[in-house]
Order: sequence, then structure tokens, then C-alpha cells
Amino acid sequence: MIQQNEVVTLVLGVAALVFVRLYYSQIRRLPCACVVVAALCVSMVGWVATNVEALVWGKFFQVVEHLCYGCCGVLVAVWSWCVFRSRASR
Amino acid sequence: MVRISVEGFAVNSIVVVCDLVALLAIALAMAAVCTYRGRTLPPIIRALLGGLLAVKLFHSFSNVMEYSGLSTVFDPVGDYVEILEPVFWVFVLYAFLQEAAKRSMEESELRFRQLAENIREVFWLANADGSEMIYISPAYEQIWGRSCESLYAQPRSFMDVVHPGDRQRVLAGLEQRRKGELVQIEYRIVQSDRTIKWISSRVFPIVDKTGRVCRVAGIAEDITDRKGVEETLSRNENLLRTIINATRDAMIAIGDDGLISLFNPAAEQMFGRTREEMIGQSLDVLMPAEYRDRHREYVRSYFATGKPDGAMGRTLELPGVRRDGTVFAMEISLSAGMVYEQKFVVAVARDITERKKVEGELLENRARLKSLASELSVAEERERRRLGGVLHDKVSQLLVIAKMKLEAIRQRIADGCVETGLDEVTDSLDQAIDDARTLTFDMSYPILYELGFEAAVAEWLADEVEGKHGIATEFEDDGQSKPMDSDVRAVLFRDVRELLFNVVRHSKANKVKVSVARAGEQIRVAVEDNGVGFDPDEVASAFSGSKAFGLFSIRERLGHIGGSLQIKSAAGCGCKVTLTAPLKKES
Repeated sequence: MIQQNEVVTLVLGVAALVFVRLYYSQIRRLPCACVVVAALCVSMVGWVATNVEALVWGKFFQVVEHLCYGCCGVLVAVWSWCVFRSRASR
Repeated sequence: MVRISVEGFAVNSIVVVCDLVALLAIALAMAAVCTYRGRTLPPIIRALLGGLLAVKLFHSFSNVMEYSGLSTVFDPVGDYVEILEPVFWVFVLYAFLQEAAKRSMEESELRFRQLAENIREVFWLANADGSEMIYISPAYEQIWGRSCESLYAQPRSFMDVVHPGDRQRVLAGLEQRRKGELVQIEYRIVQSDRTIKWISSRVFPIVDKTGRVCRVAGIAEDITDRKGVEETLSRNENLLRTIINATRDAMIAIGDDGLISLFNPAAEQMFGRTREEMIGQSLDVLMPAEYRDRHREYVRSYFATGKPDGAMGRTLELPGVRRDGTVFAMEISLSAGMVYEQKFVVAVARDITERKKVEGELLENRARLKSLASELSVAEERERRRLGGVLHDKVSQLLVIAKMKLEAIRQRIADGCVETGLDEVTDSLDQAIDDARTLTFDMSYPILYELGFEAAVAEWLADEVEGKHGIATEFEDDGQSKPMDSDVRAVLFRDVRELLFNVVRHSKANKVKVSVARAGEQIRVAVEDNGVGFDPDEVASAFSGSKAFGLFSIRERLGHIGGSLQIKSAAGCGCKVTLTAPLKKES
């Protein structure tokens, strides 16, 4: 069953992706930009999967959703480490 | 919702593992954010990043609790906290972008300041009409000797030290600047110690997106040293050019391509070709055809090997060719040099046609003098023989006869018949006296010294020319006083006599006229006959030989005493020879 909060999250996630697309030329100059963009994209896949699981292949997409959350967590941690390292090196 | 099945257990296990991994990673990142003590990350970024991590942390924690079946308390809260995650993502990224832009701006400004404050040139930035100075680099103080603050306060105060002679130009430049035109100007400034500096200023308008001039930037550079070098170079170049243009020797330079790069006015005059037509041309047209191949080979060899043959550094005599094709002799000296790694050869040439002509004349005169010396010795020998002959054949014979007759008289004294013998002796002695006098007259004409030049010429003309050879004579004198040195008088008489001898011997004339006149400080004697005449040019060319030796001798003798000889004649038209000699200056 589709839940309201998951749909809202998906819509906001799309808006976040649009923001990234618009400012991509500047975002790509951030330290480890590919990591942060990948984290957001993986997170987006998770948000899509959590909505799709209510329609088809519930268990599969549930696994995909949480795999994405896990990956996203790791990527965010890596990016944070990159940010602090680059700041420390200045 | 928790599903109690094997399949559900496996799915839940994977989900829990994934969320645990996320939980662990995010917890580490969170710890890093919380413990970070550096100052380079602004607090707002740390707060937003912390917020994002907190949302993810709580979401993962609620998922772990939910799918592990430990608690369902966090589930609804976790679901709604999840909504905040995309929002935090946007805020975090936006904050990072702002921070990056700010840092980029700071770095850019830092680089600009490092550049502007360390270059020797003055860099400045002003508003469009120049009424406000936005930035001026510290080099202004060094070059102008005034503070930057004074310029900020009075943007036109830099004009105070501009040299009065350049002020109008600078004002015109400011006017151009106001119109948004690119300005490039060089002017002088006078510093407080009266030293003058040269400034090169370039001004660039800065336009906005609409094309309107919004600011004006400029660079001013101290070019005093460069100007000094330029002036020295210019002075040296002018000096060199003046020398090259003023020299009477032709100067021609060729580069390693064998083409002419310098052709001075003397060369233009010498070869009859202009500089414009010769620059970039080959030297071929300036030399006879038979020299061209050898010259080309020499140039090619020299520029290829850099080794000069014997011609370099020496003076050579070579023929040159003028525009009209005439060939002339020139003396040429070659020297080699190098400018900016490029070899060149300079030839300095001098037209020696005149010198050659003078040398030829000298050689000719030397030969003529040799001939004269030879003729003189022959003439002297001839005269000796004649004198000897006269003394032996006439005077000596007469004296011998007189002696013999005196011996005979001694015999006759005894017989008492002396009268007849004495008469014969007297006749012989008279004859001897006549011969001796004639000889004396031949050697030195006494009338010349007793009665003067005019009387001597008149008498000799009547006695020798008309009396002995039957040629009608006429003597004309202007009656003016003609005082002469004895040397001049003797030379002039001797020359007139020789001319009259020539008339008698060669002219076949039946009338000869001698006129003597005074012309200023000179005496002019003309000997004119109505004989067969001759070609004066032919005679002049014969001066080198012995054919016209008499005329040559007359000319040389007259030249020696400061006089001259002029011949006017033509075949069949008689001849008029005019002798001119200086008179004695009357005190």
C-alpha cells in the first residue's frame, strides 16, 4: 500500500535532483562531488523503490530500498570524510 | 508490519543488515562532524550536514528497530523524519555551493592583490567617468612619489606632476577615456627632485552586459630606462645614417640571402640607380656579366661556411656597371659582420675613374719628360756640332788663312810689295768677325737685351724671315709698356723664334704676322700665318711622341714661367698660335 510520507519524500527527492542538475556545473567542483551525487542518486533509487514495492514485487523492492539506504549511508560517510580531509589540508 | 515466515525472515535480515551498515557509517560521520575543531568549515554547514546525518541516522535506527522486531515505537516517527532528508540534501548542497563561491571570490581577490601589489607597473581601476578611483596599486607611490590615498581623494591629482609639455596630450587621452576608447599614451612626469620619468599608460574601458562602459582600468609603466636606451639607439642610428648618407664612398650591404639591404646615396650616384629599386635586389646588375657567376659562388660559399677567402678585409680594384651600361673602375673593400645571428657583408666602393685617368696622365707625362730629356741632349749635341762646325769651317779657316797671309807678307816686306797682302788679311779677319757675330747672335740676341722684346722680334722677323726666306712679314705692337723679367723675355723670344722657324719650315705660307699686345698683367704674342694649317687635336695627341716636340717644348717652357699656349688652326686655313706670359709687376 502506497504511503503518503513515501510519496512526499519521492517528490522532494525529485526536486533535490532537479536542484543538482541545475547547479551541477558548480557542484562538480565540490570535493568528491561524484560521491555526494552518487549518494543522492542511490538515495533517490531507494525512495523510488519504497513506493514501487507497494505495487509490484514488494519484497524485492524492499530489499533494494534498504540496500540503497545502506549504500547511501556509506557514501555520505565517505563524502563527509572527504570534506573534512580537504578542509584539514588547506 | 512484521511478517512471520522464512521468506520474511530472510528479507528482514537483509534489510536490518543494510540499515545497520548505514547506521554505523552515518554514526561515524556524525562523530566526525561533532568532534571537528577546524575553523575552515563554517558553522552553518556543520549544522546542516549534522542535520542531514541526524535524519539519516534516525531513519536507519527506526528501520533497524522496526525490522528486527525490537520496537515499533520509532516507526511512524522515522517515516515522517524521512521526508526531511531531501530537504536537508538541498540545504547542505546549497550551503556548500555558497561557501565554495565565497572561497573562490576570496582566492580570486587574493590572486589579484598578489599580482597588482607585486608588479612594477601601476594598475588602477576607476569608475566610468574617472571621478572615483576604485583601486590603485602601491607601485603608484613608487613611480609618482605620491601616496595612493591622495589619488583616492583626488583622482586627477596624478596630473599635478605631468610635464607641462605633455599635459595637453594627457588631457586629450582623458577625453578619449571618457568616450570609452582605448587609450595608449607616453608622457613625462616631473618628480619633486626635478628628475623626469617617462610613463607609458594604457587605458581599457570595461563594459557591462549591455555594452555600456561601467569602469575603466589602466596600466602605467615607468619606461624611463627604455626611453634612455631608445634615445641612445636612435642617436647612434641617426649618427650612423648621417655618416652613411654623407660619405662620398658607396656603401652596399648584402644579407645571407645575397640580396642588397643597404644602398647609400653615394652608391645611388655612383651606379645611377635608386635605393628603392636596389633594396632586395641582387648585386648582379652592378657588375659586368663575366664577374657575376664568380661573385655568386663567393657569396654562397662565404655564407655557407663563414670562411672568407682572400677578398675579405682587403682592398680590390674591380669594374662596376652604371645604369647606362658604362663600365667604370672602382676600389672596393669588403668586411663582414653579424646582426641577430644573421650574417652580412658590407662593401665600401670608391669610383677611381678620375684617379685612373690622372695616373694615366702621370705615366704619359713621365714618358714625355723622358722623351724631352732625350731630345734636349740630342739638340745640345746638334748645337755643339753646329758651333764646332762654324768655328772649324769658318772662323778657324779664316784665321789660318790670315796667318798664312801674314807669313806671305813677311816675305813680301823684303820685296817691298806689302799693300796687297794686308788687304787680303783684313778681309779674312772681317769675315771671321762676321761669322763670330752671327754665332753670337744665334746664341744670344743682343738686341733683345739692348732694345727690348718688341724690337728684337721686329728685327729678327725682317732679317731672318723676310730677308732670308722671302716671306712677307708684318709686325704689330699696341704700344703699351710691357715690362718683363729677363727669363720671361728670353723664353718668349725663343718661343716666337721657334714658331717662326716652324712657319718657314712647315707652313708653306707667303705671309706671317706677329702681333704683341698687353692684356692686363699679361703679354699676349700672336704668330699668325696663311699656310697649310694643321689639326690641333692631332698635334696634341702627337705631344706624347717626338713629332710635335717643338710645340710641346714651347708649352712646357711657358707653363714653367706661368704662361700658356693656344693653337687655332685647321687644315688649309693657316694657323694662329697665341703665347701668353705674365708681365713684371710694376711697383
